[in-house]
Amino acid sequence: MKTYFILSLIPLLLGGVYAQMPSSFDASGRSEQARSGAVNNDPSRVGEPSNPQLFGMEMPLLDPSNDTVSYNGAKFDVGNNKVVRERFEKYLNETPDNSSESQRYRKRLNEILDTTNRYNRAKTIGSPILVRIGMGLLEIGKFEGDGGQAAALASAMVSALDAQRVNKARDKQNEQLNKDIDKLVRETDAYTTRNTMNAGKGQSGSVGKIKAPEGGGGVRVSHTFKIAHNTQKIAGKEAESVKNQAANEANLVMAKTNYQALLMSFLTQRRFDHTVIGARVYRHLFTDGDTQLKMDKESDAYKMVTGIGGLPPTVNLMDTLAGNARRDVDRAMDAVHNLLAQNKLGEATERLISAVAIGEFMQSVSTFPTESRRRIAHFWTLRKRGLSALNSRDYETAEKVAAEMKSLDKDFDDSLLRSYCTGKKRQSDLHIRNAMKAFKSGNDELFNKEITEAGIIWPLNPNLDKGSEQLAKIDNGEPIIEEFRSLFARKQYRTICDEQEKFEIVAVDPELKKQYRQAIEFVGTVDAMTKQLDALAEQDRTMGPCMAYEKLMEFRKENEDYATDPRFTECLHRHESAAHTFVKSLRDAEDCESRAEYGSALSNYYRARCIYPKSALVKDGIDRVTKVIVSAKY
Amino acid sequence: MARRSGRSRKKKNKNLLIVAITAACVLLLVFVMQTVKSAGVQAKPDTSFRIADYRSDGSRFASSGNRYLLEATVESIETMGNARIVCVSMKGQDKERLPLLVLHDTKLPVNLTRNKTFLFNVSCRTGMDAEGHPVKGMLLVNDVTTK
Repeated sequence: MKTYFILSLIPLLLGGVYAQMPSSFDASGRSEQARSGAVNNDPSRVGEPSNPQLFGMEMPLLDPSNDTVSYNGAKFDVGNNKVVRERFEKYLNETPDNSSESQRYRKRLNEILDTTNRYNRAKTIGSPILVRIGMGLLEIGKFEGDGGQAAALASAMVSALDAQRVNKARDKQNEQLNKDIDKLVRETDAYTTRNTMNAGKGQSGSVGKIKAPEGGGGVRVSHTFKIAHNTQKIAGKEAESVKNQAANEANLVMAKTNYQALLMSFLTQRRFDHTVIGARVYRHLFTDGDTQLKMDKESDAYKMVTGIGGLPPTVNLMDTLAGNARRDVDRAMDAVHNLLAQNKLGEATERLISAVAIGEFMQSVSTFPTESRRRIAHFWTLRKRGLSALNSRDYETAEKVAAEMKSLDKDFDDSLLRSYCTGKKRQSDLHIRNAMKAFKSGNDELFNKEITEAGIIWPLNPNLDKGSEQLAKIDNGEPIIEEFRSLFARKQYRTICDEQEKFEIVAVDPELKKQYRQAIEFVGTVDAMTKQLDALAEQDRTMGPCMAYEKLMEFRKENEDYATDPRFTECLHRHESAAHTFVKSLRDAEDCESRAEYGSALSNYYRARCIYPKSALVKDGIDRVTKVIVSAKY
Repeated sequence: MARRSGRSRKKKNKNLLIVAITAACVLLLVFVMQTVKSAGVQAKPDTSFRIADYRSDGSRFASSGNRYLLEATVESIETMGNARIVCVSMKGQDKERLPLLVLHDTKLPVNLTRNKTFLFNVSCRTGMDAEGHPVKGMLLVNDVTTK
């Protein structure tokens, strides 16, 4: 599992390197942050374990509980990381790599992998298997999608083999040197023996020709110089041999280091197939059985691969890491297919991000179908929009996006997002409410503070716009307020109602707001009342106008303000005209009543009752007059 | 001359007799008429009575001869204590209504029922309320007869 996490960080690490190189790193590879020491000086990170360093940068640490990564002093969502996001989006917008060339490439690559699996016995330099592997790598290296990595591996293999050949040549040279040395030693020994024998016959061991003793009859030669010469040659050859051995050692280490660096490069580039091939070929190239990585023990790359069980890092370990990664990616892609079949776009997207981040160049990833990519791309775009909306504090858009994502994926958990957005919106509205209270109480300082708070929390709060409009109106609305006061005092409610949009601004004052509402409601009541009475009068043209007139009179009696309304008055006059006989009888009755002509008054009331029997006014009049008549004495 | 005088005397006596008989008949007729009138014998209804005129000024009817015989149909009767107000309509004045007051002490020989036509003997009076204010132009029913 830890292998998986470590590998999942590789693209991030690379992305971080690529992304920050232009602006953050100088030629020495030191980051500006490292130079400034900002990371280590962060007080919030006191007590936290510092991230391991690689290439002068912090290695990111993944927290699998929430998919966040600590990197360069910051914590961020893997799915929201700019580099990962861009690579993932690029991947989603690519067409699946299913060309015939690509298929041929994958076929050849699989054949090479099979070959490395089958031929696991050590091969000698120039063996047909190694040649076949090398040729195969050169062939697939021409494929564009390979990016020349296979060719680089083949080239590295050749370099390693060349180094081995040079070493072999040096070994042969050393063998010859040893033989020469042996020969010289033997010669020197012979010269030494001869010199010793001559010395025993009374000759001093001087150098050069000497005369032979008189009795001996000949000249004896001294070998002192030859011995010295040979000794010098032996020393020279031995030095040359030692030099060759040292060169061999250095050459071997260099060849291994170069080769291992290339394998590490493949691993970090997530070229796991290449890593596996290279790692398995390694022991055929370097037959000394030493697979330990030739790296500085203090380097981050060394620490990265040593972290597993504390074992020394070897080429075989890289083989294992790459193999596990390949298997994990294939499993993740299986999961993506299954999740898509169940319409679980959210989880499918997360799994695909992981798979792409680890194995972007894997066959199962690169051949992912277009239709599935589009579905995930749509969901991903929504997610991006949601995050963007949250970042810009556009909570309404975020909620809409969440709802759309929910409609696409029923299992998508939008509760956190929705509750967060709702909370923020309410918080902002609360500040606006407090601001309005402050405004009404004339507390400008508190008003400004509350409005600012509301804007910070939710910049796009629609109530802020409304408030701004209202404030602008208030600033320009003093004459309007005065006009409103004048109209209201003269009870010209209909004028207020006709221009209600203009007079809306008076609502900022509670008292004026009450009056404004009263005027609007009054006109609304009159309009509704007259409309209803007109309709009823239309239904019965005999008694209808009488009824309408009587009702209007009744209303006018209840509220004298009605008499000031032109529509009410017009309606009253219209129905009065239509019911003129009834109205005249009533008025005559009232006139007679005022003159104590109670008999005549009663007769008039009776006449009015004949026209409109349900009249309440008539009934009241009859009751009143009858009572007077009956109680009088005659 | 004497013969003309004797015949003249007889003729003169005869004329006196005729005059006397005629006068007696007239007197008898007047007596009978007066008797009939005072005994409640049905009289001819007053057709000149206009309700519209009454509506405009009822007290006028109290001053210009206050008794009327009206043929009217009962439209409604409202009882207030022992008194009743009878609302009637008259022929040819369908849209008008006339209120007649039947006081508690007035004994009517017939029962008034709605939609029946009667001859109402009414008089126009001005009354007084408890505070001394006038109650002008009320038509009080004196008698009712069935038509």
